[in-house]
Amino acid sequence: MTHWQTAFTALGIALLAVVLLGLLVRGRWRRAHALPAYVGAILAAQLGVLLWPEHFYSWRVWLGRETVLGLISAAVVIEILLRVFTHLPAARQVARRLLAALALLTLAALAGVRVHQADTPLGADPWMFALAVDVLPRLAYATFVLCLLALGMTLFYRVPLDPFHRAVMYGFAPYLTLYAFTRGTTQAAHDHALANLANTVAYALMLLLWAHAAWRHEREPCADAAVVQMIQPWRR
Amino acid sequence: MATLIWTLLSLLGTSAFLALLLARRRQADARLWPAWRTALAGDDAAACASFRQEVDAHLSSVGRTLRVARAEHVAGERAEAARVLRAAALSALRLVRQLDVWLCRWRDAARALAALQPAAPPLLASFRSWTLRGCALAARLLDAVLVTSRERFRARVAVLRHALRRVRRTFTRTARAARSEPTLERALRRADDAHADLRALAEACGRTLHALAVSRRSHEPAPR
Repeated sequence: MTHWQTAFTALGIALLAVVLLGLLVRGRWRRAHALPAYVGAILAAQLGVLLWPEHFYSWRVWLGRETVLGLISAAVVIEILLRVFTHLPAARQVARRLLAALALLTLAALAGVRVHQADTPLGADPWMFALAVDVLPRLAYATFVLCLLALGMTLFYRVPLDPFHRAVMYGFAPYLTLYAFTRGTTQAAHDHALANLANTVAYALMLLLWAHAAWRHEREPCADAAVVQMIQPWRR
Repeated sequence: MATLIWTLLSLLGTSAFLALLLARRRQADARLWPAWRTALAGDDAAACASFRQEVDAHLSSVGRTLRVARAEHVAGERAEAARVLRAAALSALRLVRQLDVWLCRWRDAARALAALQPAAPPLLASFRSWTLRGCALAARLLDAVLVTSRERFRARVAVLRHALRRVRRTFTRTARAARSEPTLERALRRADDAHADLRALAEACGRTLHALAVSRRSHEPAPR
């Protein structure tokens, strides 16, 4: 690892620790149970890379980590989407149907991945290369579409969105679409540095937004307690 | 080719996200909470009466002010007439703005109502009896398959009535079994389960009634 990579990894770890601490101290983990798991998983992986690079700084470990994180990030957005419509039966039903349709489209997109020996750079495993440039970007884009779905439905049904849920999706959406674009299009070696830099910056901005959302003091909604309990039952 | 596809998808996605951001900024939460209060409030008649009273009072005030302005104009007091006319116009503008705010709130409340209805079919897990879980599964399948809310409502009622007949049969058996001591323990257990199932059914019936009331309110003709 270069000095810059070490520095960025350390910065990422610091930001992740701030986010995780904020979620626990402020009790925001109750609003999205999958989010602490997501943050904790990245934190553990980054600590491994920083402290034991000989074991954790490798192509295979990176692929495994990104696959797991891709699935957990989808779980975070699905959890938020279903929580927002907990007491809104019709909207929840529509959300479930749209989720099912998106799941089918994603599976179809993943089934269309082809492993070509000819396209693989010299020395790389074709399956792992296909995972990196085809599967992971498609999964990230599907999660991005999930964020759009959640934001669109809350807009359509006029549901006041919890500020923390809003920050999670506003942070995820740009990062995931940039991730999908950079991973899906960078084939040549000279593109990797720029793609990695863009991803790192987007990732840092996402963590900064989440850290702010996790720690800031929130005002209670200016509405009747019964109405708030109906729309946002996780508020105590 | 892959680059082109990803570029198009990214552009499309980013545009959609920016559009949602802009739309979200226009739809402030401070405006949405009153809409939900309107949607969840049960007393429509009181709300209509209060609205009519407030609007009539405001309109009367504007009318009175206009009459005063005309009287001043007829009396030759042009400056005073102009001042009073301006006051009447500003008062009317306040009412126009308030009516617009109310209309937006009702429009948002209509969307909120759309999110609330129809009521969800009962969950399988809320019943202890396997027969009633079968009824709940049938209700869910019908809910997914049927198209119009009227069909779904009628199917829901049919399934709930069938479930109630099963519970009635259970309690009838329980009453008979309670006469003899050897079967009392089993009858007590069965009664506990049937009681829990009956509570779940009652909640499902309550939600069905709420759906009917909400649906009825949405189809009522506007007050003249």
